[in-house]
Amino acid sequence: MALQPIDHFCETLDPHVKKAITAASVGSTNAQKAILERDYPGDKTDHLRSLANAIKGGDLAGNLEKAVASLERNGITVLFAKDGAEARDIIYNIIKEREAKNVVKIKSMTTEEIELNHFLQEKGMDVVETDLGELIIQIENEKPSHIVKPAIHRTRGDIAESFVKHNIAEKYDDNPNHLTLAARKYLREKYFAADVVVSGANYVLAEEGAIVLCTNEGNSRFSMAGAKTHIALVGFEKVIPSAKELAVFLNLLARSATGQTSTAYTDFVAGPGKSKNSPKEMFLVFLDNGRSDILASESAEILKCIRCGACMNRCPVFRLVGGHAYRATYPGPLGIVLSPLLAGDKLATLADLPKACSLCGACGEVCPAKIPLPDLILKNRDKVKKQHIHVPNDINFWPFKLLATTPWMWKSAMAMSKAANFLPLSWIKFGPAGRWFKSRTIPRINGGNFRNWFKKNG
Amino acid sequence: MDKNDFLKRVREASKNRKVVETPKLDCGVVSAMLEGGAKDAFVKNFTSNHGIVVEDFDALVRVLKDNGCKIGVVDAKMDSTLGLEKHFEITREFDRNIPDAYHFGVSIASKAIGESGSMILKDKDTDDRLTTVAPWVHVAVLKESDIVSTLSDGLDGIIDNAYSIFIGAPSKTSDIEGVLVEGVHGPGVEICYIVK
Ligand code: SF4
Repeated sequence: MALQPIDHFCETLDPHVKKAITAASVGSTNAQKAILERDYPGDKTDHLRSLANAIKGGDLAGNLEKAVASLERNGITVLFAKDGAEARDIIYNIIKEREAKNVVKIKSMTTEEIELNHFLQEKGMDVVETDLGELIIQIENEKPSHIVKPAIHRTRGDIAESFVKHNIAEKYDDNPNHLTLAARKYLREKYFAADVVVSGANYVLAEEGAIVLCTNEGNSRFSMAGAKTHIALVGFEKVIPSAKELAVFLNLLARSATGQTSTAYTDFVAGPGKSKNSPKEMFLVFLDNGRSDILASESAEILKCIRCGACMNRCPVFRLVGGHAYRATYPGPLGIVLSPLLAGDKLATLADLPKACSLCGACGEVCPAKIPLPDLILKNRDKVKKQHIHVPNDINFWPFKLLATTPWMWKSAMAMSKAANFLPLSWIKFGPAGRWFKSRTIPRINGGNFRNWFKKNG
Repeated sequence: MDKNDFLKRVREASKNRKVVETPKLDCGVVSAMLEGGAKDAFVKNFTSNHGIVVEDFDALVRVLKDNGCKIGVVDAKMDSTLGLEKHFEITREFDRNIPDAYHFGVSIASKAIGESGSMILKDKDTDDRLTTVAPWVHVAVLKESDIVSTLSDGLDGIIDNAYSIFIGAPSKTSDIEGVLVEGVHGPGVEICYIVK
């Protein structure tokens, strides 16, 4: 029986990286819990999560139509892409028509999803990520390992070396303050040279016709002060009814993502800029890329995701392996649900992901949008099974099924179960059982007496 | 893809979906961060995120000097330079060819929010975004009467111009091993100067 790809990844992961990922994830979960308990005590957090879920469960198609009309009314050119290839072409053509070369990016998972940077760079453009974490991974040609903290897997030493190699810093210095100041200096030149800024959007306000961007670094404002053209790429599920409902999401997002009351900067962009240094034209590209299929499916709830990263911070599997183990843009419980769905007819390539889950249910408990992640993970498992896709380590459960559905067998097994306490299971070093017991123990079996108890007392 | 085809596709996909009516928002949305009045909450929440609040001119001058400021740019939409020219070299135009020449920028805060501890800056009250984002120190001048209580109050009418922003702290990151560093792109020092 072969190992799952995620287990392979875990075995080869540098212990320092593993430790860094675990520490950062555990820290973020604790911070989320503490700040929500402080600011929304009792059942108020749950109430807020229910509101978020209900708002996102509204008339998405109607809100999208309204958003398009409002955005256009505000002077924004709205375009539509059915998939990543079309979105990349649209964005490239806008840039090419302006004979532009210098592009600054504001962190966006949607642009990661369509691999925009790589595409534009191949066309000869200078594309620079302005979020520090994104810059750190971009210069090493890596993908984000977390949707909020993309460079969670990199140590300060790695970053210092990489900054020297790519001429961002003159000499090796691994002090985070100095590294950040070196990036500040490097990015300033990029902001002022930029022709085009490409962003995503955390939300689109249907009634007002605006996009909302949440950042801590303020790279969004700087990018939108330097460049002349702004292009936003947005999944259509980001539309919410109006600014009124936004309060719910702003109150949840930063608390769930980084344990802060709010992000340091929240930008509201409702058209080409009117002040001196600001983009004089704005395009918004709505992306489908499989979303409408998801909307029509029994997994539509995943489209309510606000990309906070809380589910991955809380996930015991993610904490051991980090985001690269998931081989797709979206990692963790979110990714286990979303990535195979976005893969469409290439489901087989990611069919093992729904198994990279212990079904502990913790992700569903921390999700601020109250998405039933464990149920959706099970739905994906079911889909893989129904399509007869074989995944590594696919244990055949028929013996257990037989045992569990044959009362006399079950009764005898229960009666004998305590014998397992005396088996030297940790001595097994080979095969699937050996791999299993290498990092796991089973608790002592103390049960098996319920039937007797029930006969007497029931 | 054609607009109508795209919208039709989303409509079709939603066909069998149970639509939940957008809920009425109640006070459950307001966090415990709104203690005391709007102003007290703003001062507490803004400063807890390392923002600096000053309420008199001398204190403002002191903070600027403490931060090594000598040259500043006062946004052209401000009625006056507040008398800063007596203490610093002041210009009214940000020259993007010398972005690092300015130690501080001064602009108008259109509003502030108690609950979130954020200042709101709007393009309609700002001549040049660069004044607010490029210098190491940014001062936003806020009328005390423009401080509202809740995030919902702050969001009310937020899209009355092409661009608005909530600023609740200096430009910050913890992307390198989780260590907090301020001043990653924009201001490392964010000051709110509250006037009557
Ligand atoms: S699924 Fe929920 S917890 Fe995970 S990133 Fe999305 S909103 Fe956050």
